[in-house]
Amino acid sequence: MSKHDQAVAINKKLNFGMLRGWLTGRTATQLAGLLSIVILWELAFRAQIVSELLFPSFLDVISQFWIKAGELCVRVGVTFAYIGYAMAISLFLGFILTFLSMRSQMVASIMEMILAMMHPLPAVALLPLLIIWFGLGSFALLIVVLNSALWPIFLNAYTGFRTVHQTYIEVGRNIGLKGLKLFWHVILPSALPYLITGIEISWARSWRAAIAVELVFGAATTSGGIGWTIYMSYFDMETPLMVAAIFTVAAVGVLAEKLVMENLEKKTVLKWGMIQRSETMETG
Amino acid sequence: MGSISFLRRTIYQALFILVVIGIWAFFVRQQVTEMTMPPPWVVGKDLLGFILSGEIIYKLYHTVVAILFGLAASIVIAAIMTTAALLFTRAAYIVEVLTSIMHPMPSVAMIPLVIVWIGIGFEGVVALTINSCLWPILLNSYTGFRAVHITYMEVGRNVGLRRFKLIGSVMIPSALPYLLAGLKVAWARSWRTVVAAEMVFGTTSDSEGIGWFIFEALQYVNFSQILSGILVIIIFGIVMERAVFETIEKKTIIKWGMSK
Repeated sequence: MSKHDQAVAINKKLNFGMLRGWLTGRTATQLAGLLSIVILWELAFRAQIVSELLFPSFLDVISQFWIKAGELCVRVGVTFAYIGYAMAISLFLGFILTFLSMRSQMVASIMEMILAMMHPLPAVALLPLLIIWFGLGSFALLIVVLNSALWPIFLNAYTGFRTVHQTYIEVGRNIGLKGLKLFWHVILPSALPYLITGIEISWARSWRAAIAVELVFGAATTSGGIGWTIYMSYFDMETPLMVAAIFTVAAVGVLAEKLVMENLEKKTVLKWGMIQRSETMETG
Repeated sequence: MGSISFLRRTIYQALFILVVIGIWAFFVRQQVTEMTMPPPWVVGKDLLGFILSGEIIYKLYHTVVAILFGLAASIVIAAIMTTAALLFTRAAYIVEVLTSIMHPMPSVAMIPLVIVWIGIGFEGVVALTINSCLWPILLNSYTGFRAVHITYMEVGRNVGLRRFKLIGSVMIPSALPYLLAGLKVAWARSWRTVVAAEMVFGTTSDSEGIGWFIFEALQYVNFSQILSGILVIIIFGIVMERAVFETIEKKTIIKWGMSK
């Protein structure tokens, strides 16, 4: 065994040891914490302090995942379809607006004003206006979700493309890149940390907005996404299903953050050393 | 947007607003019913009326008080949890798992649960505000205090600071950029949640907030009232951002050179 191989072996062993320590310390504590919340919940239910109708048993809630699994999946899918649609349009519009803003100072100053106005406005506040104009339906919902998806994407794309280092562009030109190739190999990767942040914030906002809109629409519509399920089960006083749907919302949020967004960063900007993920501020 | 002069930018923006109002007035002339789209001057007159009669200010005040209540409670809870997390490793693990579940969760989803458990009054709004404020504040303060540079702490100890003086003069100023970011996110989130909550609560209670002010107008198809509510929210949001948060940042972290 060469010296190098030995070093690798020791490294592996150390990493493995660290992993085991992590498993026994952190995860165990976290599981114990969550478990004690569950037990307290079940005990509170058993004690019958409040009506069963208002405070369901934890086991009943979990069994809803088994009974209504199909429906919950379909409902989440419906909401996802809206969000996916809205985010695709936002990406397209966001790039066009960014392009125009970089070309013309007039567009840039107008966009700056629109951003300042739309930023503090909660997406649902537009809803009554849209209901009057377009009726209670998927179009009004789509516009609200679009409104919350578009601005973070535009703001971040604009900031990202504007702050691409001039040196990088010149180096790209020096080695003969032009037009689309320059954009693809130099400008887009440089702006990527901003673009990813924009997509992350855009996802989080549109997820919130979609659920809020479905809740406000509530009983007025005949079918809808996961927010609608929460409202309808509240309406019918099916509290276990309601809590199960709320759990689903929480789970989707965690999964989206851990699986999609963090991997997106790990595979690109983190790997390229453009950002450090250790102590980031949470904004959005 | 740095290179363009302030004057030119303002002129462009003013022109844009004028064009929008012009198009609006034009469309009203072209036979859109007054109910779904009254002309700009009618909306302007109604907005002035709502402001002068104090109605809209009262509704806004009602919402803001509920948010401030929830915000204050969240700060206290977050301070306790952060302290526990910094002192005990096990508490830190629990805080981590709780924030990672609750932080990405839209607190509007909790609205029906809050209705069932707490009710649709002031307490319900405050509970929702706490749920939307607590997690961003907790996450940022925990990260911020953990990121305090060990050298600063040692320098502080070297000049004789201890306990509360060390916390007040070294730890809090170093973590301030994070704390302010947490407050900003909390403010924006609770504002969104409360407006949505007032809309859902409204139909069954005498809710008083600005969200209900907008949504109530939908029942009577009062376009001016809807638009007035939206405009007031926009103006209030800009004022909060510019007058409160930017001033605090300028007086602290920007002056100290911690952030640009």
